[in-house]
Amino acid sequence: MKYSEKFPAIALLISTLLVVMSYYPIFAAILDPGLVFAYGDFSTNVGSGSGEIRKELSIYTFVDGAMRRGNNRFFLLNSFSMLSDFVQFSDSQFTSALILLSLLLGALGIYHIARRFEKNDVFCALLILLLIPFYFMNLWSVERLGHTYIWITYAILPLFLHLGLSYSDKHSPREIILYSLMFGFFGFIPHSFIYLAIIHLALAAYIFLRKGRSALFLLAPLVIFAILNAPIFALAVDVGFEYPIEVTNESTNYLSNYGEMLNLLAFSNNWWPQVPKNSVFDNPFFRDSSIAYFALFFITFALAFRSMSKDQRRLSIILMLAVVAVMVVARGKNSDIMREFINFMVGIGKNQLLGPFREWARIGIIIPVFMITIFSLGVSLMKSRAKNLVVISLGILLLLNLAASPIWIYLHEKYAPLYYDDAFDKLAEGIGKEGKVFWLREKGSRVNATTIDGEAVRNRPPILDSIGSGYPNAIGLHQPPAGLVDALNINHIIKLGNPGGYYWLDCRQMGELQLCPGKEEVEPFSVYKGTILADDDMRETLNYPIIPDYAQSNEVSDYTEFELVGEGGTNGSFRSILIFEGEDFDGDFTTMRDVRASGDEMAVGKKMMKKFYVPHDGSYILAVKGGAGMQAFLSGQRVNLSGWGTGFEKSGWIELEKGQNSLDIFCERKSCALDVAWLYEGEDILEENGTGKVTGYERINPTLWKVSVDSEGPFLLGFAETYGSWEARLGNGTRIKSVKLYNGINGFWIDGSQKDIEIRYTKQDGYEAGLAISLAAFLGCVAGIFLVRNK
Amino acid sequence: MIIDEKKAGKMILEKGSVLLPLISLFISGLIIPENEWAAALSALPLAFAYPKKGWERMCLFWWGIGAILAAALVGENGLAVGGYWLIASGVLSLAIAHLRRD
Repeated sequence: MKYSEKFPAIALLISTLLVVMSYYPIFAAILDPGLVFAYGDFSTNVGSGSGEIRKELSIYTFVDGAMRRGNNRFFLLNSFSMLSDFVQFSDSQFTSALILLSLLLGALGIYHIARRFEKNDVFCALLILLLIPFYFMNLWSVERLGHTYIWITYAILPLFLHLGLSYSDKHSPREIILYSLMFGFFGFIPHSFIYLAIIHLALAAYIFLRKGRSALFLLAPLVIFAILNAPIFALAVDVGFEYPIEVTNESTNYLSNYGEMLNLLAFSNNWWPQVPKNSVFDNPFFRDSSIAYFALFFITFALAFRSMSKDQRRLSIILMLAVVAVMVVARGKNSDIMREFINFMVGIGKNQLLGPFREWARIGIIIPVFMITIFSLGVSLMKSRAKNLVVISLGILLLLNLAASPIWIYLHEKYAPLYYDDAFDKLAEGIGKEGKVFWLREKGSRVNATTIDGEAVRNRPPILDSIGSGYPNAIGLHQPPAGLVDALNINHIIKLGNPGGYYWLDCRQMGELQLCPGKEEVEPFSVYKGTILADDDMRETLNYPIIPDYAQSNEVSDYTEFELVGEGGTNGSFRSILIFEGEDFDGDFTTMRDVRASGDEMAVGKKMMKKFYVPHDGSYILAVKGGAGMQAFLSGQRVNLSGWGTGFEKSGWIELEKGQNSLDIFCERKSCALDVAWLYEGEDILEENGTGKVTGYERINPTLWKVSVDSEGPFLLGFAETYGSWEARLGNGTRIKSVKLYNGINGFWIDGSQKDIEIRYTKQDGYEAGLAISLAAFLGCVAGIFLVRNK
Repeated sequence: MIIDEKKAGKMILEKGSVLLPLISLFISGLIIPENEWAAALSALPLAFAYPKKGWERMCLFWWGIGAILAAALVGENGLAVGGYWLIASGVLSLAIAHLRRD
């Protein structure tokens, strides 16, 4: 082996090391779990638990059309989090390690691309030495670090392209398997998939023109992609696809900011730069050297084209066409073509389809991999004089660009991880997952943090999702009564800043936080004989805290469900509650605001009528709350009302038949005020709550719990986790869907004969089945790689 | 298109392939800045009536690259757009030429 043959490998090591050193603050978190990323999308959780990665993953799905954290459960045990939990990495460590790994893979890809074309070892080494820093330290690359899962895909594009090109030469199954595995792993969010798919299509066109196995190449990676991402597709089958962020005409405008051609050529077309604008736009050295990069790459292509072989021409033309096309999209509405297209899509109401492209500038990040490929090819065909000139030019441009580039502000200030107050770490260590933590944050509050260099800064608080286990935003706890805190199993209430309100909490200072005691015992499960499904101020009577917004529980569909649940139940247990707010009646009345009223409103008038659906024949009780002097008729039967605490008047048993019934309330006086009327089935709910108790429970994982209940009869099992696709699974195979309690947690109607109950987040089943398929496919692919190799 | 087989067409191509990009560049980049259609429409016909000679094709690139460099120096977005379209039409002309030869 000649000494010079080692040059490319040495260049790979040196240039990769230089890039890693430049990215030092980002990688510092690998060795120091105390560091936390605290910038926007790049934020990670404080503490050793992994929570943010799960959350981020769920946001990047097409699922349910909204970024509702309630969906996050599905991804709670996604592959990354499982892995990070397994290796006991914090989120910051995992994110850092992922970035480093991708960077190493990408550098290896650039090495192979350079070696593929440039046969002169010295020039090849020079190319590697220049192209690796160019690829990772251009502004497009560094800015996208803020979206970790887009960046890691960007990082590996050179290796992906290299594997595709290798396949086009040798048609080796090993290469296509490796290529497909990369497609599957790195294309797991829509944006990444699109970037990889564009490169894939370009390569497929190249192989087609070379008369290779283009159909196999086109389809096999897509099939493997689908299998490797089976968990996501399993969910899609369940809930459908929709981009989670709304795309409006207005958003397509502002997302086109700075998308002018000149800014694109200057790598400055990000619609929302996160560094001082003068460091980007009033920075001639940076801008001109960036534009000159483009000119240099085009010049190299133009000069080398005539020397190219047929295949090389095919490849370079395809890659150049891709660059030209991407440059149209990346400008957004600054491009006439795109403006017409976007207006057309908005006009026909299909704007949501633009979702993954809506931040137009982003797609530009697939240009650099084409640039380095065309450049390597072009340089390799030049005569040594021209080659010297071009390589030296690139070196000078790189130095100029790096010296003036705003990337250093991103790497060393904006994106650099920080140390936060010890209190966060102590809480993360000390608070378990069975109970709940409720964070009260003052909007815009800042906390003390320290940079790696020991400088004190005020920054926004880190992500706190891995401290204990909280409720998603779906539950808005506005000044909750103490009883509600108990019902929701909230053991810790932590104030950050001065959020206002909640003065009844008895808090103590802990660093910059205030730790307030919530429920003393950890009790995720509770047993009720009946439940409160609606807004009402009966809470004093029942000692149940009730959250507003459940007036819709009088919809027929709810009762159909109850009826199914109630099958097999013993007589006497109630199953249905219908609640009629005064203002929901029909008739001759006006509404009046009254803060004491249920739903804050009363109906005031002479006559109120309400038609409703009764799920099955049975005995019912009517309770009406309002002013004096009202006469009630249930389907024509006069109802005698007697006094019943906190303003309610209650009837005796009334027999009602299944089907449509009516409630008419007449006022004997000039006018009466009606707040709310309840109609409920079975026993009097004023009796003691619950006939049973929880004798034990176990949290297997966030999506699987086991609970034992000792009960003499049917009961309602309350489960203090976010309301969603939860199911109670009984030993006899019965599955019981969750009903919403307290406007946010789960309840299951259980036949009393069952004592041991499994509570499962149902979407996790599909996810885990998909995961098993993915794992099997992955192992198959790995086996394939080795078998082919050993052949 | 087989314009290049006709004498008149040949003349236009041989002379025009150098001049037209220049004209379109000035029209789109300087006189009507920001008007992409003007640049695209004046540059694209070149892509379809591709010049036979390599140096003519390369002219498209050189004009485009010149425009990009000029844009860098004077900071004109119109120039950048014009340069882009010249490169785009150059790439297209190469692609069409190549496909026809295939």
